[in-house]
Amino acid sequence: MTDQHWTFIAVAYGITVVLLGIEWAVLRKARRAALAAVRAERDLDSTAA
Amino acid sequence: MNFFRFAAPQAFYPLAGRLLPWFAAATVLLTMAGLYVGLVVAPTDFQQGEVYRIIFIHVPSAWMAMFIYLVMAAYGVFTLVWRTRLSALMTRALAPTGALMAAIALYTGAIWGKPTWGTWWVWDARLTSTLILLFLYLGYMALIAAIEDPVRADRAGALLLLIGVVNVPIIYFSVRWWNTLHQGASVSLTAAPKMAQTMLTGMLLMSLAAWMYTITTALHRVRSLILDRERHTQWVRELVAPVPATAASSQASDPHRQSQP
Repeated sequence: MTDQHWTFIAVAYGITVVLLGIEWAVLRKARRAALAAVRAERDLDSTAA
Repeated sequence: MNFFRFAAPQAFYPLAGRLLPWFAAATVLLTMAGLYVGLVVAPTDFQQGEVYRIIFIHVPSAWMAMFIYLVMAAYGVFTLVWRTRLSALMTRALAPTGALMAAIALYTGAIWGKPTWGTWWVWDARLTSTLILLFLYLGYMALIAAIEDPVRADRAGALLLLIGVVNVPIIYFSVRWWNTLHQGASVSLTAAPKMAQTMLTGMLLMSLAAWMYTITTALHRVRSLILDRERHTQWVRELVAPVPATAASSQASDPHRQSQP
């Protein structure tokens, strides 16, 4: 029974670690996209000027 | 010191950048301490055995899911009444983490419920109202994504948040108002805790870690949202340094590499 309990615990903690990892990957991707959008728009304006 | 000046995205952006590493470090340290106390030091429960150790993520995530929604609703009031730009961005920044916390509370509860109750799920008042909370988070994110004009999207989202906030006290008091399969509160502000001191210590450490994690992710996300929303302004254009020529040539082969402001 104890081993089975630790399996449940491992699954619960394991899924949580994976989900938090995905959230951070998405956060970092959004940050890179935001920086790229600012640079792209500024470059476009300077070209037009 | 005038704290209201930080309501302007231009002032808040650098402040968030300075605070981020401290909250991230606190998250790591508190999580390590909480996991050590919860998984190693805390004793086996005499009724539930080892599986109760799921509370060290289940309870903090459930608390955070409710609290984040309340904070978002408060920001929603600011958005609707005072139309402050930062409050709408903070609401957007908190929503994905709030949804994640609600999801964690639900599936860890199911994993705990199977060996304890003999079932993954029941349509119990606490479980059902927490599921509704997850749907409210998802509904909010879907709503703001569906409206093209960001200001209108912020106002519609704020309205949805204020309507849905009634669900939070229902979640909290559901175990008192109805006869539920879910156990009553083990920790309350008005009564002594119904658990061993080390279990309580582990749970409080993990709760603090969840707080720090939420603040870290919100600050990180709101900085990206500020850049995106304010990218037409001069201060953002000056803030984001141009890519140096040498870096630009190397970025041509690696589009993900950026110099960080």
